[in-house]
Order: sequence, then structure tokens, then C-alpha cells
Amino acid sequence: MNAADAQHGDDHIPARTAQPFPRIELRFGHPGRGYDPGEWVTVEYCIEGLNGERPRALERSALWYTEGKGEEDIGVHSFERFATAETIDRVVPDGTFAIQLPTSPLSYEGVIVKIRWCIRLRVFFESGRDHVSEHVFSVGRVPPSILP
Amino acid sequence: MLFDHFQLRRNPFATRYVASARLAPRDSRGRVLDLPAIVDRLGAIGGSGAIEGPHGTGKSTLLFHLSEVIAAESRPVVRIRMRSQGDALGVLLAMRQAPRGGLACIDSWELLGTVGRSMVRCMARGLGIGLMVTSHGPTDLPTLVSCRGSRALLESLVGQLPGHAEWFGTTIIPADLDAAIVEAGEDLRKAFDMLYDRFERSRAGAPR
Repeated sequence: MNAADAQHGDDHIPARTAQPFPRIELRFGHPGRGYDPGEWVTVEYCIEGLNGERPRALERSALWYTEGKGEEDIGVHSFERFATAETIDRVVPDGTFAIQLPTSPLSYEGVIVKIRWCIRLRVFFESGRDHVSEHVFSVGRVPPSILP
Repeated sequence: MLFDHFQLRRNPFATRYVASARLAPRDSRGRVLDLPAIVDRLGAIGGSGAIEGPHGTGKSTLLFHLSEVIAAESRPVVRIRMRSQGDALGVLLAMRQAPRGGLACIDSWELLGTVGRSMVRCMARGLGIGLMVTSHGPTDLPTLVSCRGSRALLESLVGQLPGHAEWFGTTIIPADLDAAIVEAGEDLRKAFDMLYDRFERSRAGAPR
């Protein structure tokens, strides 16, 4: 993977953890990360910093969520879980997959609420801990809202 | 790069960043709470207790984190969040899932009403499980922790939000926290909502 093109996502680190966590680099097929509804999203990823700790499961998903004030909403568009020794070896430490986007919802950058799409990778370890990495992309071409 | 665009458009005061699970619980001076010590105190006061405090002072956050500590000790924990008095039956049914020696964590204890609370306490005694609840004031259970909001706590929590070094001092300044506390009082959830709005306006270049 070309490090210049790859990006690290938002890694969710629990407040209580003191153990080092892996880094997940992910590259989208479109460098600008912008897609149209119904288009295929292809990603390549690489999980670094495992430090010899064997993952026991990996989840790959594409989802949208709302971000803003008030309660959040979320919709999982695609989900895969790999939890056997045979399947884990095929997807860790790196892999490629593709998903076809639905027609909605479109990404939206509002003031009170935003709609975001992301690819989420979640790694589970034998020790019981897990690590989540989210990589945001956009769907559609709705312009950002303007503060009144 | 679109990724950088999203970094700029993220509002650190959005619910997903200030939600209970994300922020480490702290006292009114902003110091991290000793959760194991509080769990020990729960045992010392008889196994049941209440986390009390005004609206938006971190009760649910503390209840969540304490339940995680207890569950990590392999003690069975049942988590129940009440939204209305109609949830009382659900509470009783959920408590029956907890084995003897377990703990029922009930958010919004007052919603049970007098009769509901009496029934839950009775059932807890009969089942041999403890209760850890949140309430807006003193209750019929011993007080485990009193939560209070403050400027120091708000500043400490804001310091935990993502990208703090990038936007604090520019997009959000200390005077914004002062204004939020004046308006919201001890209700830090309201203060976060105000800072969310302030962040959006500041990012759009609106004058203070």
C-alpha cells in the first residue's frame, strides 16, 4: 500500500486502556473519497502494530450515522465477521473488499445534524480487548449548509 | 483531501464524542474519580447505593463506568435505563435475570415511583442482588456519590474531547466555557449543547 495515499481513520480508544493499540491504514479506490449513490466502494487496508498479538476476529462494515446534538442514529449497510482461524488468515493483517452503496441516505453537513458514511474495521484480540477504526467517505453531492 | 475536510467539519461537542461511554468520570474539581474505591464503598454501605445529583452532572456516565468495573470483576451486572414510569415492569423482569450476588444498575430511579421503588428494593433483597441507581436528589438508598457540575469539571471534560489541541484557544476559547457555565449552571449536558452551537458559529466565522 502506498503510504502517501493511505489514511489513518478515527481510532476509538477506551478511556481506561493503557495497552498499545494497532494502527489501521485504509485506502479508498477514489482518492477524494467521494462516491455517487449506487456506486461501488473499493478499499484496501493494512493493520499495523499487532506486535505478535493474534486477532481472534475481524469485523468489516459500511455504515452511516448521524452526528450532532441529541441522540444519534445509525444504519449498517454491510457487515462481515471473520472469526475462524482459516478466515482470519485471509483478512489479517491486510485485505481488500468492495461494497455497493445504496441510493440513500446521502452525506450531509448540516449545522445541527450531519450524516456521515464510514468504513468501520473492528479487531478483536484473544486477550478480550478490541480496537475500532472508522474511515469516513462521502456519498452524493449535497452542499454543506450555511449558518443563518 | 476529503479526509482533511471531514477533520475540519467534525464538531467535538457532538453527542457521539460527549456520550457517557467516551468520557472518564471526574469529580467537581475535574479530578479523575477512583472507580475501584467507589466500588469498595458500595460494598461498605451494604451493597446498594445511589449516585445523586442535578440534571447533566455525570450520573449516567459514572453509573456506566462503575458497572464496567464491577462487570470486569466477573460479577453479573444488569443495566436498566428507565425512560418512563411504564418501564417499572420491565425493571422487575430484568432484575430476575441477575443471579444471586449480582448487581442491578438502574438509571433514573425516581421514575419508578414510590410503589415501584419499594417493589424493586423488596425483590432485590429477596434475590440477593445489589442496586446501584441514579437520582436527582437524596433517595431511600444510601448516597454512594454526589455529582456536581462546575467550571473546573467542564474544562476538564472539554480537555478530553478529540482534537482538543487543534481547536481550543481558537475555535473555542476559555471565555466560551465561562459563558456556557453562566447560562447552563451545573447542567453540563446543556453546556455541551451550547458549546456545540458556539463551535459551529465560530467555525463559520460568526462574531462572538
